[in-house]
Amino acid sequence: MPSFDKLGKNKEEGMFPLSDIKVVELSSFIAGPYCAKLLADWGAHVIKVEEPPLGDEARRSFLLAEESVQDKDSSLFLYLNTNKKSITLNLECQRGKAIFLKLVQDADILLESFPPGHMRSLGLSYKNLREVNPKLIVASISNFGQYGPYRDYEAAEISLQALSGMLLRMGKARPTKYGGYLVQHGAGLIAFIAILTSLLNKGDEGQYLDLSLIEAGATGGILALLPYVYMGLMMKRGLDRSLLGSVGIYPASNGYVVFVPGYGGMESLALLLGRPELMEDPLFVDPIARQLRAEEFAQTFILPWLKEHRKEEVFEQAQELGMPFGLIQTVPDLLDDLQLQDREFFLQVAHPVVGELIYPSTPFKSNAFSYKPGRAPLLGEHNGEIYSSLGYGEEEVEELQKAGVI
Amino acid sequence: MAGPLTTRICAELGAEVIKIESLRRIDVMRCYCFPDNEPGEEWWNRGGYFHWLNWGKLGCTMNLDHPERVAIFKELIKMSDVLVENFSPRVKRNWGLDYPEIMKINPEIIMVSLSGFGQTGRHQGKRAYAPTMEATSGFASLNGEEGDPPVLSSAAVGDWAAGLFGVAAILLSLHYRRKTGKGVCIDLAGREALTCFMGDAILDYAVYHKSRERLGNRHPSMVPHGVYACKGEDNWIALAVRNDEEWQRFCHLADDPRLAREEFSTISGRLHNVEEIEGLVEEWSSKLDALDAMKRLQTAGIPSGAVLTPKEILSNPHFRQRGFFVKVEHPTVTGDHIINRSLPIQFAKDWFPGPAPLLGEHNEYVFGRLLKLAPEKLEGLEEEKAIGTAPLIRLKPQVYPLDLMLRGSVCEIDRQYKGVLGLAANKEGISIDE
Repeated sequence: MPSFDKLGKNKEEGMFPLSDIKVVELSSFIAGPYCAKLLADWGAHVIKVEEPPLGDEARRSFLLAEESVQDKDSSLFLYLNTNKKSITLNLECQRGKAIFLKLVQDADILLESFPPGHMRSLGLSYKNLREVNPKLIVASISNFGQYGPYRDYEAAEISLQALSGMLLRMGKARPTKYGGYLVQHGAGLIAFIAILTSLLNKGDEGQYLDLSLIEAGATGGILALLPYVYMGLMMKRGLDRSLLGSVGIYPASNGYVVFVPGYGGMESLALLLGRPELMEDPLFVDPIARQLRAEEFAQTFILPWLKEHRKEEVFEQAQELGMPFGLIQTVPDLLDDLQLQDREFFLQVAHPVVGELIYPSTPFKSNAFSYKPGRAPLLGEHNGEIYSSLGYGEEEVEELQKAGVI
Repeated sequence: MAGPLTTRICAELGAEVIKIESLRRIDVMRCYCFPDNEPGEEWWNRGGYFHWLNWGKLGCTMNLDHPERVAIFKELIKMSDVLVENFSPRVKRNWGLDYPEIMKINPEIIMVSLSGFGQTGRHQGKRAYAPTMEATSGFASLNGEEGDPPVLSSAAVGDWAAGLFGVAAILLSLHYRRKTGKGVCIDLAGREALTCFMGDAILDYAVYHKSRERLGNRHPSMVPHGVYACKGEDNWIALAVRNDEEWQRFCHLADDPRLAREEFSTISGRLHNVEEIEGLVEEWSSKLDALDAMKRLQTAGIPSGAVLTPKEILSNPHFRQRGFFVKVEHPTVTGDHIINRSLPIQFAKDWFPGPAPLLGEHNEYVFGRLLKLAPEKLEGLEEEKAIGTAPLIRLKPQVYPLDLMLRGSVCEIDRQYKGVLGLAANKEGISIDE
């Protein structure tokens, strides 16, 4: 990572802010693991407890069923589980539970994402865990939270986006989901924030954090709610974002540009187009006219000019004029992006089975502490190390494995 | 919006947040979304977006355009834990507000510098709003229908992600400072935030050489997976049938013999017949109200959610029980209004921040009580219009032309909205059964 000479000289290489924190992770798929990844990437010791024989379902979560590559973990798992240690443990049996309690005794944080009620049914409720470690912070991440009418509902990214209000205004005729796993990553990040807050306040009493994916999603979708709150107004789908006016994605000669004139930016836009006289044209100047006649606006003023220009040129010139234009980037574009290279944003780490991993690091850097590059663990990769540290000899571990405890 | 969102969450966590606005450039969020679309006289204190984004903060004004005024600002920095700023690099240089200078004033300060592209690199100093961030992060390329150009969100998700990372950065820095006693400088690039939500797409390409195409509501390994029309206008259900067992349960629920075709019973069979299956699903869903469809699907254990409108979210029983919305009182200016928690977790039972500040509302507190500036000094600054409670430049409040919009069918207005709001914050007393 760059050492930010411009910012100050007090950076300690390898100083990870959470290096004194121990985390036990009992979660799978996205939100819980992403939260635990953030803890691990900033230095915490994270032990991921996976159920034998297959572990975190995300390992096998390839986008196409046929694609499951034998013995290789999916990209989702590889990204969301960097810097963690993996052990296998079966919590359904008495001996497994006993081992788990030993693990938790020593931990600062337990992160779990089972369906609500499951931990209690295993005899591992917050109350039970507090007896073993009174200072433990337990963070539960579930679809809808530990209580509420939807508590036991099933969820997928698309249904979470629907219920959080994010979907109603996306798309044209039909609501269209955001790509990727926006809500679930957001929830993981919010859980990270909640846990960091608890850590700062850590005293002799632990804390129980009840976090839900649906509330996380709803915090992301709020903008569309506000006009209703103040005047009962609900905008229809398929329109420009009225707050900024005339934001649009338009094709340049070699790819898409996002036009964002910004507040008071129409004058700059007129300059960009080389036509200052446009400031006299009501269709150009009036934000409501631009919204209601959006296609006409684009056809009349933007598209013909844009066809004659390269996107990089438009981006640079617009930014010179103070307008926050941007380029639409695809994944390959990102990997070639020179600014991201200047910022050393992508990390390269070797993985024993998959080969070379390339993944995003962090959107914020510090002059004082570091972000830890690392890879995701193989299933049960650290059984030897962790069980030995808990006092189990090799023979015992073998016996436990045969008995299905590990 | 990312910076204010970060500090909004800090206010929710109990921090004392002082927001500094210049009278020459008041926060543009003050210009939008007025109660009942009426700006009123002191319109700059009635903007709805501003109220939402700045609850719990103290507000003071200061034009940072003169060495004496910058010196006052630096006095405030001396006594602060955290500084969140999005000055341009040029402004920072000109006024001696870059980190090495700030560190001299307060070596323990945590300084969070927010920008679109970062404080370093060839694009440093370039600007980004939420749409810019969505586009340049790569996230927009994942959004939209197959074959269509990418679409932007209507919800400023770029700012949302960046704002959350800002809070994480502050908390990590506080943790670090507690261990070492040292201050921290944070460089947060807004356009990188959403990219961190797409790590799997990047790895897929770099390692498995797979490209992500836009798929609209479809999923490459789940059928049916999408948003389907329900009874009535603009009523939709989102659902995902994740595996063959769930498919069987869906068939049982829908009770349509055409769905029971042998070929559909496996995912590969369904993938070969997506259009036909989706047509049949929509035939089923269009006979039902969306919330009803959701209940039935959930009873069958199938992930599903009605696509909720603002009105439905505000009156939703689940959000209500979770206390997601609270009522904030602002008697002098806007009356009561409903606000959501940006951080859906409570560290202090039933506590939440107070209303957003009026312009310059806490000038006396910040300059008089905290900084102990002499009254004559304050009067002088007021006369010079360096501090005050009304904007200096002629900004216009933005009013929606509702009649025009209604005639153009671009919106709907619910005249009963106040009744709905009355329900939203009515959290029923619940305790977690640990």
